[in-house]
Amino acid sequence: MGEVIVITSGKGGVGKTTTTANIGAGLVNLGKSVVVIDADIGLRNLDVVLGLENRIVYDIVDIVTGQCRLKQALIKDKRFDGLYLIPAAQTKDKDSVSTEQMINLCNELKENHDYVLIDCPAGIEQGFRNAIAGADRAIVVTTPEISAVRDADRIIGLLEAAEINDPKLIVNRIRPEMVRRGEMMDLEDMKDILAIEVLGVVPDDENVVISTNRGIPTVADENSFSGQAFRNIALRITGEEVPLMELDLDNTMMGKLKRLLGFGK
Amino acid sequence: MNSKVEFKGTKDGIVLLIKPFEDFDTVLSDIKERLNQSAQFFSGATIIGVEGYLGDEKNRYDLYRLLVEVYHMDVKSLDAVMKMHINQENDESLMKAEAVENVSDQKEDQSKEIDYNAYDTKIVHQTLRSGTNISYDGNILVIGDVNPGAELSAGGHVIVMGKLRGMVHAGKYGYKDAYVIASKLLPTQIRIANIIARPPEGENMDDLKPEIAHLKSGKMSIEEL
Repeated sequence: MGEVIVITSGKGGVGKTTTTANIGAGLVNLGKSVVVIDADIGLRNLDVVLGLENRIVYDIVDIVTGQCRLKQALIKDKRFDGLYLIPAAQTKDKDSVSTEQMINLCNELKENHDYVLIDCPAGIEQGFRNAIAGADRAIVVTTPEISAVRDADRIIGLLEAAEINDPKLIVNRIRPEMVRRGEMMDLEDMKDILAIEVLGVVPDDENVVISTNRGIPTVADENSFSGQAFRNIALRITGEEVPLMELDLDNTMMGKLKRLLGFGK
Repeated sequence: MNSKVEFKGTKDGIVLLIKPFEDFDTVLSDIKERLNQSAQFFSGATIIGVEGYLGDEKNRYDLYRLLVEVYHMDVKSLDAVMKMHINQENDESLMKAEAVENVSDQKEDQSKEIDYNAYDTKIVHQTLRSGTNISYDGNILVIGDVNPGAELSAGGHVIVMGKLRGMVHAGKYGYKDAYVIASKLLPTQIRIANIIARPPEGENMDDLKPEIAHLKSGKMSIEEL
């Protein structure tokens, strides 16, 4: 019996889709069987980030309306064996799927896969409600900006109201040198406001842009900082204890990061 | 009996014929009646498609639930079956039976089935952006670009005077002689009748000349015009 994890944020553009793709690929590298679902009906992206856009025949709306069988719609990833995508429909809207249909889909997928990751759309409307409906756990993604943290706070409240307790936080696109100069919120500030456990910190990294445009998750890149961060997050999801790069963040984050990755001293 | 449904056996499975209806519930109740009469015969049978109009997605979903959950049938698809396919089979048996009698009549019959020149062409004069879906039973002519995430599906041919980068389906009801022409043909995915192909990766838009895609002995073939 697998686990359904929704990846959400409230605010758009903080990296939900990239995070979903990378955690999915990271978990597959740990030998897990993973399905990633794009719940952003009408504005699908996850297929592009994974480089699978041209393989789509059936999408999530086709599955829940019975136009195809579940197995027909699962797109096998071309690089990561054991990673499957259920794409969103591009020409429909969020109301094409109901919460019950979403719950049924999640339950069915859970039986045959270790993890089901749901890429939640931005916002708190029907799309969000559908995305969280079948979830057992939640990961909230934020960036070190006041607006994103504010939205994350709202989302955590909504998740708790929906009885998805104990969500975990990923802080994406942090820039250690700006934090050091006091120009960017540091991890402690965010922990102070959001008061949830931190699952990982992902540094801002040009490689993410490059790999996203190529349709290859950055987690595959052994040399990238962000890839290492996502590999650590995947390990933590499976329950392994990996030290966080959070201690003394304001002073020596970069040094810690480098040490953690085996660069420098 | 004035039933709204018929079950038609083919060598691949059962095709559900749905007649025009006002209330979909009457269709469902007719199906129940038919299936209850011979429940054993239909249990585990395979449905390969539907002929006729189902209406909206909810009808389709209700029908699927009824067939699968109540009657335990194996539903491969509730899509419109490839009409051409079935008609062609009929034509063949017809020809065998009647030999060469009435040649002119037959020609007329065939042209009715296969000549997509007889169909209307929808002309779309705009750029089709992501999320747009143009679906038409005849041919489609687009004057403008078709961006990734847009979908074109035609019963007949598709011609794009511009860059075709989205998903395109020509001959969606099974018309195998349908073709796709574009000034620059680099679709996300291209389908003709029931054949699906994707272009090779790393092709450069700037190098492309006008091309035509069509089926050659069942395989997608793309050539310069």
